Amino acid sequence: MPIDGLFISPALQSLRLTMDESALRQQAISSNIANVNTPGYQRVDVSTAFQQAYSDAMTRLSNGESVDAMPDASIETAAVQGPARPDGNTVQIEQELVGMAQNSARYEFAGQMLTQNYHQMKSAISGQF
Amino acid sequence: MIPGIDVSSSALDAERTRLDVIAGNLANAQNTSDASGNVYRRKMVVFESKLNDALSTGTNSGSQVQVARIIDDPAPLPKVYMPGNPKADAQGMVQMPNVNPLDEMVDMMTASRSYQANLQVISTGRSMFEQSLKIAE
Repeated sequence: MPIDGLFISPALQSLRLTMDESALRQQAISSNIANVNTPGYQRVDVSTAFQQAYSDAMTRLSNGESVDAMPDASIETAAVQGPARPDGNTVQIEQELVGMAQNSARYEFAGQMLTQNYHQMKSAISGQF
Repeated sequence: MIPGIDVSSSALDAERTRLDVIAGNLANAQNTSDASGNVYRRKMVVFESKLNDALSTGTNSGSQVQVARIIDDPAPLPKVYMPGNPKADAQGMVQMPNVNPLDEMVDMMTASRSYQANLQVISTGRSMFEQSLKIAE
């Protein structure tokens, strides 16, 4: 097995993708919270194309298949539940804050797992625990 | 590097400006003669999203917020009976600023809560960044 093979294992790849997706979502959430008082602002989220590609990739990786190139990570105006506020703003601050808590936990989880993975790899290479 | 920090700090700026304007309104709530000799009118901030330059390159990072302009509240000025006041008209009525301390207090709470929310976003973003640094440890 070539050495590169170590770093493209499905586990590592899916953790990396999760961190990417999570960082992008944090951007979207920060934009929403920053604009909570901007009249007419439309809530944004990770683009549906990217979300779709992300969940497809996750399924493929958990089945041990390889993943095609991911589409560009981007943010777009998101659909909202419920009516906009009278000033045309569609941000609901509570939803954003809850989303942020979940999102950062996901990021932290993926980060921890990735760290663990690399530690194990290092142990195996050096033969020291 | 820290996700969303530009956007959040632009919002901190904007909310702080709003707080400054509220302070100005409260301070001038009884001021019947501003710099140009007119009765003080309540000031209001207008927020707008700043179109992101990165938008065109495809790496969208959300939109920053800025204070578009500060406008005068067009609401009518209340009149108060104060015959001794040098600004009183023939009936002894004086035009007072259209500042309502209650409105200002509510606005102040909103501004300070929004400020807190944005700080929270920054600190979350920072801990995410720290987490990613730990991967290389």
